Amino acid sequence: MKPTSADQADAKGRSAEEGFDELRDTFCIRLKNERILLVALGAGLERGDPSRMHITSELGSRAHRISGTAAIFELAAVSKAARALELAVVSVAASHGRDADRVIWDAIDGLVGLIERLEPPSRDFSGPDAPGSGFTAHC
Amino acid sequence: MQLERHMEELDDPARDLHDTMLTRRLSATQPCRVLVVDDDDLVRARLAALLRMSDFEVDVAGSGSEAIRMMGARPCQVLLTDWQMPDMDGLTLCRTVRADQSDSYVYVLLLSVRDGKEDLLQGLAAGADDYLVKGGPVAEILARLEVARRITHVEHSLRASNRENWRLSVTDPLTGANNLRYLMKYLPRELVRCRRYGHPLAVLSCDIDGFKLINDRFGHEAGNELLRAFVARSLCCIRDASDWLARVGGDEFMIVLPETKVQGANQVAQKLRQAYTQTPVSTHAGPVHFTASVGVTAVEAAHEIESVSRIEHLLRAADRGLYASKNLGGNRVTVAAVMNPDLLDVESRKVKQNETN
Repeated sequence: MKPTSADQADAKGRSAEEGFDELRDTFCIRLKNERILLVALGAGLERGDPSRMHITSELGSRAHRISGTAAIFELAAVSKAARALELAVVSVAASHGRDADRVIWDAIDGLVGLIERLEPPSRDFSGPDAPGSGFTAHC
Repeated sequence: MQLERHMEELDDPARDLHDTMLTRRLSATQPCRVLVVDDDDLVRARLAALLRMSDFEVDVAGSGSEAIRMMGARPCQVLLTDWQMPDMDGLTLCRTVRADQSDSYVYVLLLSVRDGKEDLLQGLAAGADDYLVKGGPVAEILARLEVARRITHVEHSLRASNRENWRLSVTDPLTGANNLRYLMKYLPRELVRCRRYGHPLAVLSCDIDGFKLINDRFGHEAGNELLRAFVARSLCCIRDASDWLARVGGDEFMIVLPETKVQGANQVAQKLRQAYTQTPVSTHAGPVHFTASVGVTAVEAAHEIESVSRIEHLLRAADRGLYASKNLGGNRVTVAAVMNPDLLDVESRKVKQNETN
């Protein structure tokens, strides 16, 4: 029997969904690595590393990228937390001192916490990105 | 009669409506190419897959500068771009696209995590047509892109319609040749080019001998058929790529020959004269013989090229040659110098002398 156009559309839809899951799984694996880098950059700030400017710039650009990509993959909570980190970096970029850095550390903690709670690919995720929180997400 | 019928067709509102509907149908089937620009490969892949699902043709680029390169190689109708990217950001990309005076419009949709009102305003001020905050439902991205597709199709149809209107405005409906408006627009450009590069330029003024008598004897329809045959035979004798012809009056035509000196123009004119007389034109009223008179002029010497700044000089000289040919009995070619009116007499005398001999 020849496939109908509905069958083809359905197959197209299914393969697109599979493609989407695959890309999101790749992103989740990437996020796990990002978590390590974010923690290391946060530690650098805490130590009073002389390359503070470089660290904040790196944090800002990583946070921006995570925020955008997470949004595209419908991980709204991760996107929001990354955006909060990006804005924290921008707002304290000109300030110095531990009080200013505290805002960044808190934002890093928030984002890293969310990433840690992301479950491995193909398993249900019952964290803040779960259905009911305004989006569907599992990694 | 035929001209009237043709004009009626042009003025027919039902035909206009049919053409509009045809244009719409064509534009609906025209593919819409979207260039997705994002520095994240996963975002690019995700968006590309989504768009392909919705029957968009998709290209991807990792930065603004790569996008510019790709658009140069393969134009797109819609640009879906991230804001913050290394190398060249989305705003600079928008400005660059808007600064480009290319032939077709590119609809720009900025997609960013920046969600402030001032970000939106900044994006639109840079030239974006729409602004979308990342994180909204996928359906919204697709809906906005459908708007983009619709708008680019409308723009495409309008552009095609303008091109067609322009073509009609410079075309003689009876013969399909260029008309006087075309001549007045493009002959000055030919003259500018000739002056800029110091290259020769020739103009022939042609007129069918006794056209009124032919019309009176065989009827207007046969006269129209003769005019069409005149154009067809003329086009066979001139170069496709560079030479052109315009109907400037009832049976008057101008032929423009860029990069042609007076001697070459004279040869073309002789070839034309022979082509007109070689065989009769088959008309509904029977075969009609005709001849034509031609006036030839050209600018070729450096001092001529520098002195002749107005097309009127060329047209007047070509007409002088034409009138001389007519006065000498028609069916002949007379060369008239642009700068030296006396040359006309010399050339005419030569022609007459040759024929007497």
